[in-house]
Amino acid sequence: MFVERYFGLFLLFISIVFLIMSFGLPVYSTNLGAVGAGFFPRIISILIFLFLCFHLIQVMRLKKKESEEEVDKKIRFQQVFLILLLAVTIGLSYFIGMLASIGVFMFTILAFVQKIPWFKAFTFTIVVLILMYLIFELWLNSPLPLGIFG
Amino acid sequence: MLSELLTGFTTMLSSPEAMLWCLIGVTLGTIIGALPGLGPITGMALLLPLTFKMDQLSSLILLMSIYLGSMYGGRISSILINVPGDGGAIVTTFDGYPLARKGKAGYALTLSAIASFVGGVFGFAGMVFLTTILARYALMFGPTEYFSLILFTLIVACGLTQKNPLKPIIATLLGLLLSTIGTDMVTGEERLTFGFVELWDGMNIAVIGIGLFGISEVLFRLEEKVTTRGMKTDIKFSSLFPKVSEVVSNTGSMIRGSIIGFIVGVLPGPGGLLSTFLSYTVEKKLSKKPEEFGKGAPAGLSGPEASNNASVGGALIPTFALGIPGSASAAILMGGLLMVGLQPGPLLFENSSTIVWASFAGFFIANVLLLVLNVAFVPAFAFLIQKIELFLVPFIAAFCFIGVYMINYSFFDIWLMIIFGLLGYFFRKTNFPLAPFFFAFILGPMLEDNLRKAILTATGDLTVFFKSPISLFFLIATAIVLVLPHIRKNKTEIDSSSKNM
Repeated sequence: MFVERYFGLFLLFISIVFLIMSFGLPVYSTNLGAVGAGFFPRIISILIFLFLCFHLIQVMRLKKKESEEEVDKKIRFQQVFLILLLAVTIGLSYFIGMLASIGVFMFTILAFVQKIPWFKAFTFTIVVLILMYLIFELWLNSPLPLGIFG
Repeated sequence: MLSELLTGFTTMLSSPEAMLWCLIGVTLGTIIGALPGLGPITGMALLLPLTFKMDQLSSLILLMSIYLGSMYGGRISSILINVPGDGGAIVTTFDGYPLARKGKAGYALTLSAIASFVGGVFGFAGMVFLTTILARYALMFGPTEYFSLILFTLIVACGLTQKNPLKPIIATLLGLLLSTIGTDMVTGEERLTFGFVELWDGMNIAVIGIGLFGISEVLFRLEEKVTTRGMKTDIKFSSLFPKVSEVVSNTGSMIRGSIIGFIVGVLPGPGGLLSTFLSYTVEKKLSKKPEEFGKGAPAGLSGPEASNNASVGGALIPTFALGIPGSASAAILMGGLLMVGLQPGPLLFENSSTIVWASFAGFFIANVLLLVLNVAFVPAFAFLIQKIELFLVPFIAAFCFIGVYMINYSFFDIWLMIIFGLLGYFFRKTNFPLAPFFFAFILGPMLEDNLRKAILTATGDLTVFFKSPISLFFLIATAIVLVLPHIRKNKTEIDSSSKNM
């Protein structure tokens, strides 16, 4: 119920933001004699707003009948860690290049989240990095950021 | 038609690159399909960035092969560990796993592979004959008819028959709303971009797809307790080849399953999943020994497997002929088509006829390759799937990361991917369906564009949608789809209350 309720409220917030923004767009573009840029987004955001209100009323009415399956705190931590690490990888790509930062990301997840022995994790990371280099740099000829190695 | 198909086969067979991608696609597809949780949508979304720099035929063949391959692969884990690889393989667990427990794993795997082949070939034949016919009729469609058709597709794909119809509706509307972000196609106005220049061109389909399906899968995978570690890998090679009579006795169920799968596949929505349940019910009703179903009845395995694969061909018909995908997987495929410069729809057969016919030929070749791979190499696949499971989380995440960057060489896209990954995770967590959201995101611009064109042509007259017979037909069909579940629900309530009295 907790996640359901707060996610519903989050979506409601999003719909309100879009609704407000759509009011800044013209519903009819008179010079063209046609429907304007705001017509579609406004109708859709009004509809979402209404349906989300119905949905939230339903969720609130359920009280605590259906108890949610609790996710282990350790798993929750791993999920947050993974997302944060992805964000860090973006930042790292500017400095040490994309392939190296992906290597750091993969090794960290394999060794500390998946608890794979360091040697195995390292070997797998290297193999994947070589594969990625071959595919993206050599075959697809894509200029990946190199950072200090560039 | 047949001469064009033959030319397609010649093009396909004379292109070593396309053939290689076909083989890679079916192999990857089988592995992706067999891994619990991963399915055709995630698999194709992950590999979408690779297709940008490939030639049009190879990219199309790769995506189609993955789509078909994952349909074949889904049954491996269903039969061996009772865990379906994807939605379409759920029914395979009903009789496939009991057969494996009776020591007939090899028989179950081969029978289901043959059934998949029969379904796949049936889907291929249907696709070849019906796509061009439908494309010819689609030339009669103007903006009015297209708007009504897309509206109908979105409502059907919503899955309103679910327990809580509000969630799919909200998901669809949200997909439509987010598809409006970017520069307005008609007036050139910047809308809902929050001041980000990167959003002026809207959000890329692949970025959204990879985030929604790839990153959310990574997050979900950390929570799941599903494992392939108990998978039986010591399948005797000789057991993989059943007697001809054993296969022939299942011909009826395979053909019935193929017909059901193909018809359901053409309709928008979760064709594969729905058709397998439908086929299973039909087989059980027709069987002289219905009590054997759920305990290892071969017909309960072959029928649904054939229907699952026949639905692929069915789902590709509206994708190619109308530019409207028949399933979420087909929607990803359509995204791939758009990104390599192919515009799906009736004109596709005029502008890129060679590629389309060669891809149809590739679809058939992929089926043949899959039959061989899924019979002779099943023990190898089972072994591989068991070994790579632990490495999947960082591998998928890393591949998503680099793949998304590749699309526009933009870090902004990676942030978008993470945001949509989180959105996808919470969608799954709260049982909001992802497929209708993605479906609506892809079809949103087409829906709006046709709505505006129709109103502009009719000089603001909104009744134009009721004046065209084709449009009116789709609007009535939409209304029926919207109203029918409520009528059924009320009828059930009345029936149960009268019984209680």
